[in-house]
Amino acid sequence: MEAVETIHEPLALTAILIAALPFGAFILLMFFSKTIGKKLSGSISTLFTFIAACLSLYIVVQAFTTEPNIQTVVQWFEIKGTPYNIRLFIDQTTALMLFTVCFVSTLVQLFSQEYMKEDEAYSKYFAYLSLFTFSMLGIILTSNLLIIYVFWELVGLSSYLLIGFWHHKKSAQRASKKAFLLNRIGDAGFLCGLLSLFLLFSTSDLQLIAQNFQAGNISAEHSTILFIAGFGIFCGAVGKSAQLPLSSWLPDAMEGPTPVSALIHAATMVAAGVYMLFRTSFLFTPEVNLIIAFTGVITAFAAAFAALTQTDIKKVLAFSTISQLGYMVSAIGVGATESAMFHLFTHAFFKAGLFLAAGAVIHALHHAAHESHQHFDAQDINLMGGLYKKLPFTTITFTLCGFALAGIPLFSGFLSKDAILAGMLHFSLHEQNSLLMIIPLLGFLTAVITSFYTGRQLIKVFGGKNGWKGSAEVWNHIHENTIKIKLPLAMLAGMSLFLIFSLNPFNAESSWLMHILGATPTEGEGHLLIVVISALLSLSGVGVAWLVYQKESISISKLVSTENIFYKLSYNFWYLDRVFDPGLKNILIKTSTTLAKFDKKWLDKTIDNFAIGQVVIAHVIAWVDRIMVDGLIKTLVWFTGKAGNFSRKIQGGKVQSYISAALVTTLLIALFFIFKF
Amino acid sequence: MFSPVVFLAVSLILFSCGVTVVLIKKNAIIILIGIELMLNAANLNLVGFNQLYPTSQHGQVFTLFVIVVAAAEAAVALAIILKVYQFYQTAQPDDIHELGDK
Repeated sequence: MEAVETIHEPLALTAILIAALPFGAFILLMFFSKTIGKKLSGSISTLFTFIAACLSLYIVVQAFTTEPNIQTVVQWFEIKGTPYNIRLFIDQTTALMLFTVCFVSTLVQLFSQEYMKEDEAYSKYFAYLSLFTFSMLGIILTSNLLIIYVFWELVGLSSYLLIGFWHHKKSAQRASKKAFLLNRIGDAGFLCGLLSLFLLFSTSDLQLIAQNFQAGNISAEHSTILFIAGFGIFCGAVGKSAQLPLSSWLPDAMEGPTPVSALIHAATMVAAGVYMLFRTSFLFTPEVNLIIAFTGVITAFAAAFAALTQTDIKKVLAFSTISQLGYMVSAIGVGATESAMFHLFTHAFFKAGLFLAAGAVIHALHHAAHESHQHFDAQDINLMGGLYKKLPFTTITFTLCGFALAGIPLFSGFLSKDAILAGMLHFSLHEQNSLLMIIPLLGFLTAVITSFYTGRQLIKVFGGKNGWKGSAEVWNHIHENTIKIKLPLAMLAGMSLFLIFSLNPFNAESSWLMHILGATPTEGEGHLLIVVISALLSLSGVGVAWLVYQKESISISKLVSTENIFYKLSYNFWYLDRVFDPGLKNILIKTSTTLAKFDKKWLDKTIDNFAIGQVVIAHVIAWVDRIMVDGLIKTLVWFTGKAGNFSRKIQGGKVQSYISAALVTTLLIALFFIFKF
Repeated sequence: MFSPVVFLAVSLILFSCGVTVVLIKKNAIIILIGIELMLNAANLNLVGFNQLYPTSQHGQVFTLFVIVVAAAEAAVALAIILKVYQFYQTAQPDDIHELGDK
């Protein structure tokens, strides 16, 4: 392979190196883990990713100062003289994505060194993590949809491996299979979209597609194919980013180790879907955009509603991820793509921080349970409370990240969520369609719910009127984690503050990130209102949570019992799983049973009868063969044998028979002469 | 003097007996006797036909010659039979069938 066209070669090579480093770590740990040893393997993988993170930081700096677009085109193969090229493309957004993925992955691996310390398959775990990082970097770096699809599937594979990492647990097996299968459904759509794009533009290079598209080479009659393409790519994103109706794998994916959840939810897997939508957003027709916007906002609301009643510390976070992803997807649909990416970045840091903090809590409780020889569910928030006394550091980091999630002013989440809400409102006001007001309304509603359940979780885990609800013995054994866990938490919590992203804590448009992402300033009149509304909403959500769970001045159990239909809907995530099992499952089974019956009755019968006919004919032919052909030969043989036996007897060694023969012959000759003459 | 017809008749009977003995008998010595019988039948023929030419003595002489040769032949044949007996422990030609199939 040789480079066809390169802009700024050293940087392009650096970018390839960034992707190659985690892959190298994967190869090393997968095939040479015995020689490397358990202790070193985690450090190697972390170091490799750390180097990649440093390199990507260098690329970010370069992209912002000198080279806003780095690319290299490499010819892969040639069909009938038409070259098939792979393009490596880095602009400022890509560079930031690169850095985010590498940075979060490094922190997660550092965290995992402590968290997974006692696991038997320690080095395999790090190998999978490296593969995961590598696949994600591949999606980010390449600009060829086919190659992206390959990496897209690799992300699916590595998530399958990591979710099912504790494969001795039956539930982990099920969860990994579920994640894989639901993703396949979306990926089928992605493949359709990819192929339709290839049909339209006869290339799968996103850069070229964008050029062609903007040149207006697409006539109106192609709008159906364009719709299919956009919808197909959206389907892929629905699978990867866990939007409705394919979201139920994400809560189940909590069966994997907690750092893996952090990686999946923050930077790698679910971000891939949104990133993909961002890169292809120019293709979407208005109808596709509408579908995207509605799917996203409905997902955001549904998942936030489900998060209200969860009792598993990780499940609350899982549903919040689905909800936040819904925001991002919806933002893409309403045309606020840069806000979506902004939220993707801020969300990556605070969600990774939340998951790692949750992991820290689980880890600490596990240790305590282990040391006090007691068994209890270390993830049930109903059993926790008052942990701020024992885990002050974790509490602070969790709170900081949690406030970012809740969208409290002065935190990063506020800026990005505010930008998305503004985008939604702008879209629906612009379209002059009152039905579209549903989008921003659901968005605001979700914002309240989000801050409420974040507050609920914070108080239930760390605060609470009654404090710790478990046994005192466990309580005495809880102590703060080591530096390897604290360091990632501190960094991620730091990244959740507004200062990192914008000097003005109340206006996302002053953020440097939004300028890079290409946001055009919206008209300012309504914006202050949105800022005020969303700040009030998020604060009131947390405030109500404080009243309900900390002060307990409102008794929630009286208002909503566990038997309540809304409670059940929320706890079971709208019974979405029932759609698949037994709903879809039964339909599938019934269809296939019917098809099987048809197969047996008609297709098999025909083939069977044909076979029987064949056998009968074969028997007849065999009979003819045996009797006629073989008979003829056998008769010949018999005759020859008899003749041979007869002639043999004449010279059978009996002297007297020779003599008699000679005598008879002589007599015959004599008679012949006598009567002839 | 007998007429040649009588000679021929006796010779015919004698020859027939010889052939019969040769064809029927199992023992080699008896077969040899049969052969002698046939030889003597031929001798009789020679003598008988000689009667038709009283001036010629050829037949008589030839007969004597044949008798001598027959004696030699009998000696050789007996010797062979003895050797065969020694080798095969039998004097019956039917039992000696090494070259034939069993």
